[in-house]
Amino acid sequence: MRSRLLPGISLLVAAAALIWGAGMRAARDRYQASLEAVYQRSFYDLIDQVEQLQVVTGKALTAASTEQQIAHLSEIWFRAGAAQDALSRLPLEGINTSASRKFLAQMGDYANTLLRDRARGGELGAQERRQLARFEAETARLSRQLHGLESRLAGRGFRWASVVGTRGARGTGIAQPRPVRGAASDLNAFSTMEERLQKLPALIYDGPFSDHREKERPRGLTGGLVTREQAVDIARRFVDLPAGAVYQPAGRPRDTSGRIPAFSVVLQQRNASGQIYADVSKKGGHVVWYLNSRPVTAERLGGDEALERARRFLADRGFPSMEPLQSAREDHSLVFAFAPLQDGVVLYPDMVRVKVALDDGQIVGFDARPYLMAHHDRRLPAPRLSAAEARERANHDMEVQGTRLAVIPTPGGGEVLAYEVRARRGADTYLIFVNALTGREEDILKVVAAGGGRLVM
Amino acid sequence: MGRRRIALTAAALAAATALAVLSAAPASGQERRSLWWGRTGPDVVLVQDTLRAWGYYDGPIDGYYGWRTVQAVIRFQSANGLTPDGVVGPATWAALGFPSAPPPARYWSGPVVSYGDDVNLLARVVTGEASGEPYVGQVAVAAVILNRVRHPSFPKSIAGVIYEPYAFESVTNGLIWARPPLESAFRAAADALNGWDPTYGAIYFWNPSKPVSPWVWTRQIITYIGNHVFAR
Repeated sequence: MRSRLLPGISLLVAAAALIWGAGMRAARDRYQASLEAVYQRSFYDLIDQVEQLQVVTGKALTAASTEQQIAHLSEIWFRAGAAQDALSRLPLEGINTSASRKFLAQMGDYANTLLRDRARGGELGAQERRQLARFEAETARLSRQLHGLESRLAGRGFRWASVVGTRGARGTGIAQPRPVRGAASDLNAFSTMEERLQKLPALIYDGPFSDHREKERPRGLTGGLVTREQAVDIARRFVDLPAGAVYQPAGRPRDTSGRIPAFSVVLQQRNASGQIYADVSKKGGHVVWYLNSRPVTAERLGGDEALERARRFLADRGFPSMEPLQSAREDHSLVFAFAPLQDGVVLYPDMVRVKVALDDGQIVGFDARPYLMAHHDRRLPAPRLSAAEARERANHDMEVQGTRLAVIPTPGGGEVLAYEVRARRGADTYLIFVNALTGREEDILKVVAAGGGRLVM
Repeated sequence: MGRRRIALTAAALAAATALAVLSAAPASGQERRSLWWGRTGPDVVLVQDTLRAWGYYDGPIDGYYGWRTVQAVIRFQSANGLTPDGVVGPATWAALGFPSAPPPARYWSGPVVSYGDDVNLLARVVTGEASGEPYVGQVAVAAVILNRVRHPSFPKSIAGVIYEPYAFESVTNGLIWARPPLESAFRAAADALNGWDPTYGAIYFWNPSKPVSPWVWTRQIITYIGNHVFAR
């Protein structure tokens, strides 16, 4: 009886397993096909965009009129962004493509800088033409390599989705350059492109991705070097603590070697969980930033009261006459951004942030990184325009609410003196910056109300 | 002085704007916006009030979608067979007794700012990558993601950076979906979005006790925080 039942059950189990397995396989095939479609699209998008980039760059160099040059430069900007986007979607595990992506991002950014300059009457000089020609030659080379890769991959029926998972995912936040084996070895073509693009000379121009911006040095550090022990003392005196609270340093401060070399101090209260993290610059002993990690759970202060606390904190810490620029809500805290005034001119680059807990008004965060990077003695030029003339330059459909002078940063890291015209269009408020020397409209920011704060974008 | 007052009457103005936006919507069968961490407004009051009446919420009815509201929504969602993501979307609105009609044309032009969704996404990755790290280490991981968005070698959006293939282990192995974000991760993400960056512009981080490619050690190391190395 038992011996006859057993084979029957085994057969049934085996059949069930087979059906289940077939179902799983079908499901996996469907997932793989949909993934493959996404990757194939990205790959062919990349090829098309790079090919078009080469063509459009040639057209931009050929064009003689402002309209045609601007039209083609803006197409370079758009297509370079699309190519970079497509490249970053490909599953190229173990292949470093950061120089290739930087090349594409810089090419677009460079074209954008040129077209802005062209739109305001600048000329396409010999140096700019040489750089564009270099971009044309590099994209031609890239295009050839990508086409070669495509024909090899298509020839052997390569599937991107089949590469996924075969080499495992290790490491955190890092694409690991490791040798690629088997069917995927063709992908080494991406490494070949990378090697060449890594060797391109640095590109310096007036845009956010220019290579000189990587090497910016802090201008606001004054004074001599401080010791590790002094750094701890400075941090303890600087942070805002409730009366009677005693915080001790938790261990020796670490060294942090970013753009502002600093000692990283951790302060701790005995028998309490929250910690205060503070960086003190090695040169001059300035507190670069600090954060109090305690959660804020209640809310008793209003916005005006919190602003007053932030102001008082800054005045006590050697930042008198700071002008509030914006605020952002963060759970039960408010983060205010301030900038100093010099002869009534708002210095936007020298920003300082202060975070106020709304339960008891304690300052639970401070950030002077922008201030220490940018602050220096400025000889401000006398404006050539009057405030009324600046308002005249702004859009006439706007309802102007106020005008003041400000120093604002340019995309390439420079500074200009501008009139900040605050104006409303419908329900929205904008800040329009008009160059106080040339009358050029430099930038436009929109004021938005976000989660209980006022942000500027 | 007068201008300063205009510039920063933070809470009052925002609350007034939220009211204005909502009253512009049709009154019955109205479209309800999705709510998540950081949102404010009378619709948040509605959620808090309902959850309190049903025993899921014991915090203040302050119209602010804070951490306790997120927790209460997650409890409510778990108890009612909804995806416990802490976000009040159409399904959760319906379960709360406020079904929404199909949205009419968005004809109001109030300030539309999504800031909460960035916090959500960042907090998930911070939880996946740095849940055992000190608070400042969590801020640092969020800051690295934001530094990448501004760097020429990386995609130009937060989602682009996070979902880039193989960029983050917790995205590759699905860990970011396995558990709800930590409370500290939300705060860390918000601090990073508001400008704090303990790494001074780092674009890489890794755990040296795990196998990593020797290549990463050629990068310029900025600092060590908890179990992570930060470099650019």
